[in-house]
Amino acid sequence: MNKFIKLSLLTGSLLLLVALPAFAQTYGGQRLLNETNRLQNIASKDATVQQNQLQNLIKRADNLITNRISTLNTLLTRIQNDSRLTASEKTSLTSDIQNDITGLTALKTKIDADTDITTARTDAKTIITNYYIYAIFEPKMRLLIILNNLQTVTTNIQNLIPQIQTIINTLQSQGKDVSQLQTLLSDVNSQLQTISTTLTKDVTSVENITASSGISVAEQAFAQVRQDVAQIVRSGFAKIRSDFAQMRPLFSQLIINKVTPGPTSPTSTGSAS
Amino acid sequence: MNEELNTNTQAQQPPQPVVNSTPTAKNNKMVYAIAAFVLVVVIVGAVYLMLPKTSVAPTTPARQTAQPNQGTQTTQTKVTPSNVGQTLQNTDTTMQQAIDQANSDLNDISKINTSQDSTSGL
Repeated sequence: MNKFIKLSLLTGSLLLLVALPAFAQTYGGQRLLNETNRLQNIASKDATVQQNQLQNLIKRADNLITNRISTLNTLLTRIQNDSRLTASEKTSLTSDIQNDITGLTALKTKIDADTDITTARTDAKTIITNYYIYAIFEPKMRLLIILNNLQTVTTNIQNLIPQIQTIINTLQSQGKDVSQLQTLLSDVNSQLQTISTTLTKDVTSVENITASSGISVAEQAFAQVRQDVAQIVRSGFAKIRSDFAQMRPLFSQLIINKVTPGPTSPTSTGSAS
Repeated sequence: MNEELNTNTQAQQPPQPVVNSTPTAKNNKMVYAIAAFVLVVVIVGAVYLMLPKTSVAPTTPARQTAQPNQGTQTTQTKVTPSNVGQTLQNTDTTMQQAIDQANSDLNDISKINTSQDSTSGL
């Protein structure tokens, strides 16, 4: 009996010794293989996700750039169709806009060629931070258009002042009462001086604003300029128009009435009886 | 002694002037004439350069952005007593148009969506 038990134990041990390594090899390798496959799948999914994220970011950046270039082209049209801007002003404004269009176009090419999402994200942010088309550049251009237009009108009116003054002087030399006309013209001149000074200051203020100025600084400057423009339009120009409206009938009276005040001439006929 | 004096005198006497004009004398006269001519020309030129030049004062006010107003679409006619009333009327119309345009442009500025310049989400 003892021999049988001993023999059984020995046989079982031998079987275990043989089977165990084979079992371990088969089952462990499969696990390793499965783990490897699992990790590969994860990596593949991650890569796919990252690739999708990259493509989505590139697509979004392209849209951002396209919208901005469209806005800039609208500005170009506005400038080209303006009837008050001088040729040099149009050239200057157009040049600024074209520079941004060129820069954005080049940035689009770069972003489209980006191969990793980190670089693409950094480049996409520069669409905003290098240009600030909506927060800074477009308001700046539109304000310069307004200011330049108002400067043109102001300058044209200022050119009339000496000529009107000459007419007033002529009427005065004819012995006519031009005091009202003179007062009105002096007021017009004063208004124009104030408007011209304000416009010059505002042009400088706006031109000094760039993308690197910061949004808050730009907004503050632009708000002040808009306030000045509103003041010029509602008050300065309105006063000038009022003065001109008063001057027109005065001129009519003084110019049409060519008879100078004083004693009648000896040749005038008078009734004898 | 007198002979010595005479000799010395004779020795110190200047040479007798030549009656006939020699080429050297002619040349000297020419040089003097040319020099005098050049001197006159220089003096006249200097006086001309020193004359004050007239300067044209600018009549248009200085502008910040560009050259003085030029190339504007509206051509300005000379104001005379016969057209001053019409000129003022036209100016009023121009100002109204400029005011309308400025208001329109200000309105366009107020419509700009500045929030589009946000980097959040990028």
